Amino acid sequence: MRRIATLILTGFLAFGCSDSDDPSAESQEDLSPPLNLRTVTGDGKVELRWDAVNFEEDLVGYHVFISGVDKRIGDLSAPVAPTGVDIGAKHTVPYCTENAGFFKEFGITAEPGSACDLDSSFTLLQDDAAADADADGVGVGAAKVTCYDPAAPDTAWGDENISLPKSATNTGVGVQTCLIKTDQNGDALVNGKSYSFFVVAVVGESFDGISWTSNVVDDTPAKAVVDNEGLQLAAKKYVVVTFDTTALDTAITLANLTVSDCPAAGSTAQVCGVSGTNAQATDGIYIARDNTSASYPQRIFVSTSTAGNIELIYRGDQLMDPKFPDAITTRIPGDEAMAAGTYYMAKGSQLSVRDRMVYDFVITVGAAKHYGKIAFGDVSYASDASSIATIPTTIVVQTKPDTTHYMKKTFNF
Amino acid sequence: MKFVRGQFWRWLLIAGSAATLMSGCDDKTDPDALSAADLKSPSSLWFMDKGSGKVVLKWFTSNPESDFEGYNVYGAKITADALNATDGITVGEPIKLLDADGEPVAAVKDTVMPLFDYSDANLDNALPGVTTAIQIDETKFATLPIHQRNPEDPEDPLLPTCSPSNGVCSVVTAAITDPSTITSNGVVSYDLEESGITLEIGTSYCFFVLSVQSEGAEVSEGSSDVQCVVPRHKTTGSWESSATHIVDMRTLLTNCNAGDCTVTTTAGNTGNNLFLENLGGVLNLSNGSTRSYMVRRLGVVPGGFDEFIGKAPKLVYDSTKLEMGGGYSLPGQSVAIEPKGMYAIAVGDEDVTKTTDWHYHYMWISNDSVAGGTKIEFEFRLAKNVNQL
Repeated sequence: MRRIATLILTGFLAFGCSDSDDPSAESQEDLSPPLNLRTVTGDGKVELRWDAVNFEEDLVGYHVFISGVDKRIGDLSAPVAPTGVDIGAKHTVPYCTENAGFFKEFGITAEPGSACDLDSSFTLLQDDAAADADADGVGVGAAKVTCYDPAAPDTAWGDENISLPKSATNTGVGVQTCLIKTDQNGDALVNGKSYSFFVVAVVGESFDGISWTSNVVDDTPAKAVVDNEGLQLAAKKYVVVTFDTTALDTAITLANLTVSDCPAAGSTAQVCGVSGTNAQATDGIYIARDNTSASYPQRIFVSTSTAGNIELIYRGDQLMDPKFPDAITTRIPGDEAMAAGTYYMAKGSQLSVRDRMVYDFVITVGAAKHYGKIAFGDVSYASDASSIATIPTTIVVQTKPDTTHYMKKTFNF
Repeated sequence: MKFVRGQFWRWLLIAGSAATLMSGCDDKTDPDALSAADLKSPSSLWFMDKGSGKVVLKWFTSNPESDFEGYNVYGAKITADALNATDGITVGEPIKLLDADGEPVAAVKDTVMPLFDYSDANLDNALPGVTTAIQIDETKFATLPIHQRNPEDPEDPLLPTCSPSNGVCSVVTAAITDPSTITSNGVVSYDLEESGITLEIGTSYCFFVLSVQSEGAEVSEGSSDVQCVVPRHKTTGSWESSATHIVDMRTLLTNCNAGDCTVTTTAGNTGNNLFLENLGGVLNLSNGSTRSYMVRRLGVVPGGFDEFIGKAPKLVYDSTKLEMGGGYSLPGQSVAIEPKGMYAIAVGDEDVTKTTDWHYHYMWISNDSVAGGTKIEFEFRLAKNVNQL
């Protein structure tokens, strides 16, 4: 009954009836908003995931909205309370007058009810005159962006009516996935540019009912400068990965790196042993085979130089992706980098590498911090422990300063 | 009304107790199970082991229903293996109270629910404290969740177990009069200690949660996941990292089991012990090359055990391998000490070549930074039982 009343009230306040261009907002009791929206950073792509508890029989799917103003959430106008969905940060119900500035960033006008309270009705209208000359504007159905299949990025799931239709894959219950490749204008997402997103659930054959919004998230696509390349490294050798700080997304080929002999055990510039400190002159990430113990020739170390501007931290293992069980991902969706100045290891520290370990790093360039990730796959040896090791390696760097989101890069075994 | 009503606990009354006949019944003792469209069930379920038997339950919620009041928490002293051998319940999955026709699932009502009865009559499975901290009329309410007794009506259990606000599910100590203000979205936590429950270290307990509304008269037909926890010892210690010290974790565990969890660090790097090493300013964890301590880094966990939800992988020892199964260090291999780092430490009972069972302990470094000469603060969660991950 409450839902019917909302529909009637909203329609009355807006245009007299509800349709896909002018949907009515359902209360969160009648239509559950998407919950716990999070992102997985890709190369020119962003994968969205959210938790859904949409048991509504007339659920038809979800609308996804994107802001491409190259701002992170903190730089957007913060949504105003009341907040009905309190997971994460920046949650909103999109009917408060005070939120007009925020929704405008998404090309949407929030047409409010009489008050900023839980019982008000609201309407969302696209606010993009260039997209439609109709003085009345067009509805949110046209303001959405299309979802693609994360497992098959060329396959579009959405259409002109809805970003993500309900399907056998995205049932409306459990984790829903949506790969975003383009912005609201149909332009491809750009690495190093920040985008913000929110999602609403949609009901009705005419797409005429929408939920309150999910929380709002942002992400910045980034390129893998090393894309799962097998580093070939003999015993007692090391390489150093250096970055072009004026063009951090420059591709790096590990096979082209100079392979050097490990310093002698006890060296003050050790990069090949647990005892000692990396005091090498070159700024970069060092990947080395053990040189200090005859007992453990298979040991591999990663470190940065005390003289450089890169810090490392071990963040855990690559994980099996629960949504794609055959894939191992190097980050947890929604994960953020540790902020510089927190728990990174002292430069020069040598950290051991084992199969499927993931390290975060931060490169300081002037006053800017650039966050990255280095992930190792299953290490194999040509023969015995002293033979050449093949170390599957992926490195991603955020070119946009102070962006703490990461890439998604999967190793498929 | 489009929801399915299942008189789930009517069977309890039919099962017949004299007390039922004497006191009659009300909706609270015979709740209806509502479909997910009308009352969303909790989802997931995990634990924060605060140590010393103090455990916090956490689960995921989305309950904007206008009559929603909170959650019923059911707990039992039982093992995961025992539950998995019981029809109608699988650890790691939700319980379904109703079948596709909206009728009570017989195995659940006849077998599963009685295991979780919060009553001192439930001798085999009762939670600690049930006989003294909580008083219930067990003959009237054969399967009740953890609850308080209504002081104004001793025959009346206060339900639900807890009511959420800002992510914390607080014990209900008085009848709820205005459910319209209660809603929950996101993770909520419920501290068993608030209900006077301290679990026994080394004993397995299993839990699940139902959503509740309408003064306890309606519950969700689906539960949270069923999950089990075996509480661990908690102890803390520190190490002056200007030198190398050892911790004898076998003796520490023995002492903890006897009631004294004081950590002693001793200078040196000998014996079958955990080494806290300073190798020229580089800090490491290790053990002698023929010993039976093996370390597995689990990554940086800034919040320590308050946010740690991982589990150590199982150690598979094979002296012919370059790395122990599960990613553990080789005996004698050093592992860097990292600020806010979490570690699994597998401890064998004897010489490594003869060890088949392992104690998996967790160690967390609470320092914001580590370097030679700094004082390293650490915290342990020690497993009383072997092979407990």
